[in-house]
Amino acid sequence: MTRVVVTGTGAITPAGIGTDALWKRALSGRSCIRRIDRFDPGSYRCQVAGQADAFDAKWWLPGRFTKRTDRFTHLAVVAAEMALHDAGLSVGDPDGVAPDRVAVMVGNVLGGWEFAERELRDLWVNGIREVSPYQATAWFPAAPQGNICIRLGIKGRARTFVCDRASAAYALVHGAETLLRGQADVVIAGGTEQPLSPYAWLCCQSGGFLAPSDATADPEAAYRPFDRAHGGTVVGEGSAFLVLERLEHARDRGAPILAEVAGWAVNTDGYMPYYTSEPHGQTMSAAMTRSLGRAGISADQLGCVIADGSGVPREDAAEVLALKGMLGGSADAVPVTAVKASYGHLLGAATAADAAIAVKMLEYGQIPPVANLSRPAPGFDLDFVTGTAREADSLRHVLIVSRGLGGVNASLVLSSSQEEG
Amino acid sequence: MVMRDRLLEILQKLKFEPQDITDGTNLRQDLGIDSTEFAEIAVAIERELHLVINDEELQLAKTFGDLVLYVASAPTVA
Repeated sequence: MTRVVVTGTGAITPAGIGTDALWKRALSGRSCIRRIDRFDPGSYRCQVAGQADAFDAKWWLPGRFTKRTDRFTHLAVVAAEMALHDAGLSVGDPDGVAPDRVAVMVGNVLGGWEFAERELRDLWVNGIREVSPYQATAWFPAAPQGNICIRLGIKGRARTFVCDRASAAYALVHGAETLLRGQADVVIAGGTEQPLSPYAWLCCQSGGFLAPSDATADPEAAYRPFDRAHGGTVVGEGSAFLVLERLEHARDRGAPILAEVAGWAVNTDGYMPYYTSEPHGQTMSAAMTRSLGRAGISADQLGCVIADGSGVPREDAAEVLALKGMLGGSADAVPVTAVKASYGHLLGAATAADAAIAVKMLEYGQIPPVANLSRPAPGFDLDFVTGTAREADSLRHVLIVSRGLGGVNASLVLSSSQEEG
Repeated sequence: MVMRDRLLEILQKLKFEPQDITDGTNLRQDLGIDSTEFAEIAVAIERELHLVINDEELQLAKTFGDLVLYVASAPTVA
């Protein structure tokens, strides 16, 4: 059977530059959520976020590139380059991979509103002559995909997935399937998000999933997945990418094999009258179970679950029901974590960051705790990892849950590279 | 300040490297300026120098020297 493996990761997140910074932050179980200072958040219900402040695009990219593009593209291009470098790959060089055999899959939710808001203000205030000619190509969600391809010289398949907070999961799934179909030899898959501009933030507020947190609140305590005091999501900016290859391709070039993408499944459970997901979690649970089936393992072989953990009470409840349905009799024995609480939910990049952390979990045999989970809500009787990281020497399989508004569900299983046979 | 220096200043604000630019520098081949960036340059010249710039005529300039000559002949805003 053809197998898909991870050979590189790259990330720029509120935790810092690089996957190691993300891993250390997750492992600490301490939040780096802070009060927003990119714009005045005073009139918003949620005034805290994860900010990737360590990333200043001018140190990474030429000025003539950054002037044409939004920060969500800057984050994506640099994170994708990091992943490619981590995989020891170059595109188009004599000893590199052929440009038309590299594919790019990008998840994103909001687009490039920091750039767009400025230009739309100029349109209405000063007229069309004052609008940047780059507005049209800077704003739209496929801008990062296009710019990654241009900058890295990639000529293969490229797609952008806009499916709310599951966008990066869909990018990873499509990346794996692209490899299985032989349509590429290398796939750079992940996501990017930059929600820290006044209109984008308002969209997040209108979406109804943000945790209320005003100037008097403790930013680091605002995001509390599965906790009795959970009140919603705290969003962060960032980008994460994984390099995927077929196992034999990675072996042939002597690449480091970090993990296997062993299983995946997607489905939808959009639910009316509220445009959200089913409260009973059965459809989401079915996606999780199908991903296990694809990986060829049973629930009792899972070493850990990385839950979506949105912190939205009804979503937490549905996810717990879905997890219990999938885990069955193993519900007491499989540790559950939700790493986003340490740095913020990266929306269209979230699952790629989770997957990058899962790779580290498999490498180091440690499970990061859920930040701010001190007392699980009633009925949330799973084996949550709280307080400090848990040692898990025999960790072989990690299931990652991803879901978004409108009932977009995805489930991935990452397995230890020692399992690749 | 002569027009040449004013234009170099404007290009620097648009993130070009002025030290790389001479009168003979080819705008498209050497600097990689495309039609979108020409539009950006046209608006920047209008704003900074209070001149009326025709986007299509500006794009006829092949070299930086051509650009200087065109801008020097452009009418001021009425």
